Amino acid sequence: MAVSKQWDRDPLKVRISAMGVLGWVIVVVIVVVVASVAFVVIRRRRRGGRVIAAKEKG
Amino acid sequence: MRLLMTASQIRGLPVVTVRGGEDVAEVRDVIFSPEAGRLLGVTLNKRGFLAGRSRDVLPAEAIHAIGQDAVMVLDALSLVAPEDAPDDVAHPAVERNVIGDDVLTEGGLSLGKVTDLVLLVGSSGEVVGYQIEKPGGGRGYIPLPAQLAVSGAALVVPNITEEFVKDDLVGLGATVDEFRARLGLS
Repeated sequence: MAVSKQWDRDPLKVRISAMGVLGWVIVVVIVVVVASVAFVVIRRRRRGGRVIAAKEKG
Repeated sequence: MRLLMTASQIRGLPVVTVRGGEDVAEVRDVIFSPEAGRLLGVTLNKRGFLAGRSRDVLPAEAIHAIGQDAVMVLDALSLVAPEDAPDDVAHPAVERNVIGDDVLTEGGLSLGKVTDLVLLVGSSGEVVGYQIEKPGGGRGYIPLPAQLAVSGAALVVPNITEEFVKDDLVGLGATVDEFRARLGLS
């Protein structure tokens, strides 16, 4: 019990908690950015949009 | 009614039936004949936000009209399976995408890069020219039949094409007949 209370007041725990929140924010931002880019790329590929010259005959 | 449209304006247009008013597909790729100077057909996407490619294609003969807001067909039967479509439309040569092609005169002068295709649309699709990005920046238009050769990498045009690069679509429309006359095509 005494150890637990001591740990609660430990500056290291406070720093780890703060880093944890920041870490989650960074992870969420990275996931959102990667997912958005992937979504745009996949959608573009699916939609196509080329202007194709047919092969010359003869 | 006939109007000038670019291929990028046609891409993504809904394909709507005249008889039922149904929205049956969406234009994906535009396929044209550089020799004949006409639209051969379009490949299609299914309708829907993330819907992918449709197996069916739409040959030019099955198009009732192309307008600024939709491509009209008589009914859903106008969309045909690849087995029943002309080979150029059923199996388009995807490596011959002209967007991004270098425009080079036969004398070796670069006129820019192809950014779009200009068509005269209505009940049919006639290709009238290419939209280009000039080397120094800015948009230009060159009339068809300009190319001596076309591939997925370069568009080779006669030397006199340089004189016929126009800055707007109105200028392009006015110059097509003169250009053809200079090439001895009319």
